Amino acid sequence: MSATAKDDDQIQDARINAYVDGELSAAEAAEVAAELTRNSALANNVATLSRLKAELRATAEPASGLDLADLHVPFRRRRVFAFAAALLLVALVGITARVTLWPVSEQSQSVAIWKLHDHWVEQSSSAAGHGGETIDQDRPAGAAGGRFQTRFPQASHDLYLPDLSAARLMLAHTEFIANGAEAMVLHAGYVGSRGCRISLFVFAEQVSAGTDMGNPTGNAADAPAAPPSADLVAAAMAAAADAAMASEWRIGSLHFVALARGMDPAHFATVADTIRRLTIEQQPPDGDTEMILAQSRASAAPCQA
Amino acid sequence: MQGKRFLAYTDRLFAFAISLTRDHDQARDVLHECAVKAFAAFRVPRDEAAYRAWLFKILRNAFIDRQRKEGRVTTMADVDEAEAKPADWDIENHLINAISVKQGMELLGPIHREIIGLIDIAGLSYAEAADVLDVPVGTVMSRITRARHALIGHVRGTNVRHLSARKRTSTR
Repeated sequence: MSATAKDDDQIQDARINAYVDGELSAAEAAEVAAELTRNSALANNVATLSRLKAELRATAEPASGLDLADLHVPFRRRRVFAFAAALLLVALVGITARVTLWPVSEQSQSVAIWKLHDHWVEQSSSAAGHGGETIDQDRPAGAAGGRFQTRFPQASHDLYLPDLSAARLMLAHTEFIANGAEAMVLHAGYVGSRGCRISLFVFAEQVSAGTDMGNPTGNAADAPAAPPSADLVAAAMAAAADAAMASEWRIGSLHFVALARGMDPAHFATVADTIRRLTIEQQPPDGDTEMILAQSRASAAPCQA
Repeated sequence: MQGKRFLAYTDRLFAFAISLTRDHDQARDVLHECAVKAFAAFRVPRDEAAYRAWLFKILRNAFIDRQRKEGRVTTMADVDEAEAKPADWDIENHLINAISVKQGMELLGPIHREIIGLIDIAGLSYAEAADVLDVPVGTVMSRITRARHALIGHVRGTNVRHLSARKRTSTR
C-alpha cells in the first residue's frame, strides 16, 4: 500500500470514528450517511464501531459502594487546620476580632448606619426595578478578578473587601463617607439574588460614630446582649426594626460592622462570620469557604427585607 | 455547591478510573484523591463543561502521581503503543460482546485505555478529552481511532484464544 493510500485510509478511519462519536458537523455527517448507502463495507465498519462503542459503554460500572462520607473527612480536617491557623494569626499579629450577633426587638429610632443602609437598599432596589445596573459603577478600581481591594484612608495598606459571590452576594456598592474633618467611613453594599442586602461598614478606631455620624439617638442600654465595647453597634441595634441583625469585630485600629434586615439568621451568621474571617485573612475565599457560603444560601429562605 | 456537582460525575469518573487502573480498589482510591483535591481547590470552574474536564484532569493527575509514587513508570505522553492497520475493522459483530471487550481492554496499553475511557466509557466529547489530555482535538481523533483498532485486534485475538483453549480442553 502506498503512503498516500495509507494516509487516505487513516483519514477515512478517523472520519467514520468521528461519525460514530457524533463529532462531525451536520454537513459532514450527512455526507458520510449518504456514502454508507452506497458502500456496504463502510456501513459494516460503522456497525462494528457502533457495537464496540455500545459494549464499552456497558462496561462502565457505577461508583456504588463508594463511601462518599469519606470524601468529606479531609474537608473537615482542613477546616480545623484553617481555624487553628486563623487563631494563630490572631495571636501573632495581635488582631482582636469579636463577632456578636443578636436579633433585635422593635425600636423606633434610627441611627446613622441604618439610615445609610436603608438609603442604599432603597436606591439599589429602585435601580434594579427600573432595569438599572445592580452593580454600581463606584466599585473600587482593584475589584477585578475577585480581589476587591480598596484604599482605606486611615489604614496603612489596602483593605480587602470579601468576595461573597459564592453566596450570590455581589459587591455592588462602595462609598467613602466623610466622618468629621479627616475621618472616613467605608460603606460596602452586597446585593443578593433573592432580595438580600448586606452592608459592611468600616470605621477607624478613633471614630465615635455616635457623635460624628449623624448623632444617633438610640440608647445603647436598650439593646439586648450588647457587647461592652460595641457602642456603635449597640446604638445601631437599639434603633433597628425587627428582623435586623448585625455583627461587629475589630482588626487592629479598624472597626467592622456588618448588618442586614430580613435575612435568615443562620445564613446571616454564616455570611457575617465569613466576612469577618476574610477581612482578618485579607484573602479571597478558598474552595471550602465558597462551599460553606453556597450551602448556607441553599438552605436559607429568601430575604424579606 | 461543589458537593452536589461532584456527585453528579462520580460514576463517570469511577469508570474512567477503572479504565486507567484496571482495578476496583485502586480506582476507588484514585477517585477519592480526585474528590479531595477538587474540594480543596482554591478556584473551581463555574462553567459545567470546564468543571467536568477539570475533574477528569484531576483524576488523571492523581493516577499518574500514584503510579510515580509506587515506582511504576507511566508515560502518558503522546506515544501510541500500536501502529494500527488502517481499515482493519473486519470482525464479525457477534464477537464483540461484554466479555471480549472487557478482556480486550485489559490487554490495551495505558494510552489506549485512557482515550477509550474518556470517550467511550465516560462519554466525553473530543474537545473535552483534548482539554483533559492537553492535546489538540486532531490528536484525540487519531488516538481514539488507533485505540479502537487495537481493541478490535485484541477482541479478535481473545476470541481466537478462547476457541483454541476450548479445543484443547475437549481433546484431553
